[in-house]
Amino acid sequence: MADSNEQSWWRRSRFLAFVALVAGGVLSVLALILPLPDFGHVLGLPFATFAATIGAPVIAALAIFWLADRQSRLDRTHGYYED
Amino acid sequence: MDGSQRNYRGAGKGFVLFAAAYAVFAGVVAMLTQVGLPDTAAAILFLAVTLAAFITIALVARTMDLPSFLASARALPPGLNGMATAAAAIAGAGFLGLAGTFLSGESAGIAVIAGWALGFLALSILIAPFFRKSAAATVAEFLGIRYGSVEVRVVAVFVTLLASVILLIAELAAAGLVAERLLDLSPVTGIAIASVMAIAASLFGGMQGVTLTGVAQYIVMAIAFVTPVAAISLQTYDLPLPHFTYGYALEDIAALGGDATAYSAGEFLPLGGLDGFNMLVLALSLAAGIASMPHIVMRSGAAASLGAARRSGGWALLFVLLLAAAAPAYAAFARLATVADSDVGPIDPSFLVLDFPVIAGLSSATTALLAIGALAALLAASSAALFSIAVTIGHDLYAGLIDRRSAAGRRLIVTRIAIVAVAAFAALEATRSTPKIFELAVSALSLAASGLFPAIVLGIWWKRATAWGALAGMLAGFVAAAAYVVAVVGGGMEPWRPLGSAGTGLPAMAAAFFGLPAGFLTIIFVSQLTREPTDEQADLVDAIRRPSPSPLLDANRN
Repeated sequence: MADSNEQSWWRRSRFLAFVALVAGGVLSVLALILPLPDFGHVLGLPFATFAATIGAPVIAALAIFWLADRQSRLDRTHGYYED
Repeated sequence: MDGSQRNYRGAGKGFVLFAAAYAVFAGVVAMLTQVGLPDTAAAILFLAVTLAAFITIALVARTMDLPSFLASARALPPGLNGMATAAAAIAGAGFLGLAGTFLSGESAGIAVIAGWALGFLALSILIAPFFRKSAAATVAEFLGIRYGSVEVRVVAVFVTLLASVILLIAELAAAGLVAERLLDLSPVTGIAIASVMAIAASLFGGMQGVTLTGVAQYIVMAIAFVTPVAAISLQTYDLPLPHFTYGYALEDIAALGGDATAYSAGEFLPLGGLDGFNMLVLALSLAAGIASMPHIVMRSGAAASLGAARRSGGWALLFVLLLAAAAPAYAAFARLATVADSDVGPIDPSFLVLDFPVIAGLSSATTALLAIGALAALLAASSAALFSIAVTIGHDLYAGLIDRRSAAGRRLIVTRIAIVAVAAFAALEATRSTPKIFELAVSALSLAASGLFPAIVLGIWWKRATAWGALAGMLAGFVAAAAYVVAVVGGGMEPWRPLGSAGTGLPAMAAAFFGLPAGFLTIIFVSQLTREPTDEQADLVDAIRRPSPSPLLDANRN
């Protein structure tokens, strides 16, 4: 059975995963279901097109890298590491 | 850092040189065509040099070591792993079909890009590090271990084989079309070349071979896909970044009176105009498919660490985006050409990418380069799907069920025989296939999602999930999705219009709309009705979640 350290580590890991999923996915989902406001052009593209085809995927990738770094730090804080 | 990791870092530097050399080679061929090199000679030169490079890399990657063959010795850096994953995820549908989708309706193209983004996000966060920690070689093995059930493993084998074989046949059939249309070869010759290349990539080096050839294939795909639109972008807007300048092309089209032509859906990615709800459903279906398609999930197990498994997904998404975000430029520049020049005839969305050099007035060398890029995309997906099928046969069916005491060497032989046999079968089927195979192939993602995604995710994140629940959920999800795919693709049923939605209705590709809820709800319901997992099973889930220096399974086990 998991000890208290492991339970705390898992609780914090779940929270990190949730934050990364929401942060990384929210713009993708909003760009699909809502008519995004017209904020003019971003890098030559209409804002809505830019947000859906470039902005949201880049944010999703950044969320993945952010999670990987934070999770590694959390693992070490709780004494879990691979090498 | 161990020896394998050092070797892969060396390979990474080698691929930087390969990319530079290939770009120079493409430029030299383009110049030669300007001074009189015949188009056919240019096409043959591209084909011969590119395929020779892929074969050489496959031979260099050969191995007789089981851990290297199954999972690249679990030593892949995230950049290389992400690049090979991106090549397999884009596949023929992405390379040949996405631009045409933007031509026939921006909404479907946007949904596909969102599906990729959400899929890699879900894979990296919910699945990849845990799959890597389990040290399972296949998705079926992972599920079999997690639920302690042979039956669960068998159902997962069935879903894996069905989804992957459909994909493999479609990729080979598309290779036949590309060879016929642009290289003046018969479709059978094109299918035979693609089959031999897919066999070579996986036969000698297994995952190692598929990865290293996949990286080379991605480089060829990226150069081939971005160069033509970058050339038009530079020529028209003084900036070789088509990902951003196509917005100006859209403005120019409007200024010239607009393009009222309504284009039908293309063949390789048959998606028409979608409304917001159907876009969301399609994106979520695709996302779950990307996160559970066996040949993509298996790559997580090859990463050098749990962190590398997560980062691989991030890199894969960025590499996919480099191509995907250039796809709308094909549609915009082609529309601009038709509006600005009345001599440009109607565009076939199925072949927008391959016809683009003619539409935009680029050199014939560009046409050959695009054909080679398309072939590289098809080979990347075929090799990865072929390897995943063969490992499922050799590792799950043979070593896991038929001969549990078989030695590592014998398992390698069985897997290698399966590679050749499956490729021969798929090639034969590809020669007999109809265009419906492309619609079925993109629907394979939904089938994999419905049969596997709920069981994988709940298996990791919900300890209460039981073997009976997983078994029932996998079957319920798969049957629900398969019924819709068969009704729409095979039975000619009109696509369903949920909530009276506009557009073309729910495409078969989004069949996971039925399969995912059926799978999740059935697993939860049946798990609550059946006996709670034992302490040993709960400890196993903890071990899958917890980082530690040692993998959960010995690399030479069944």
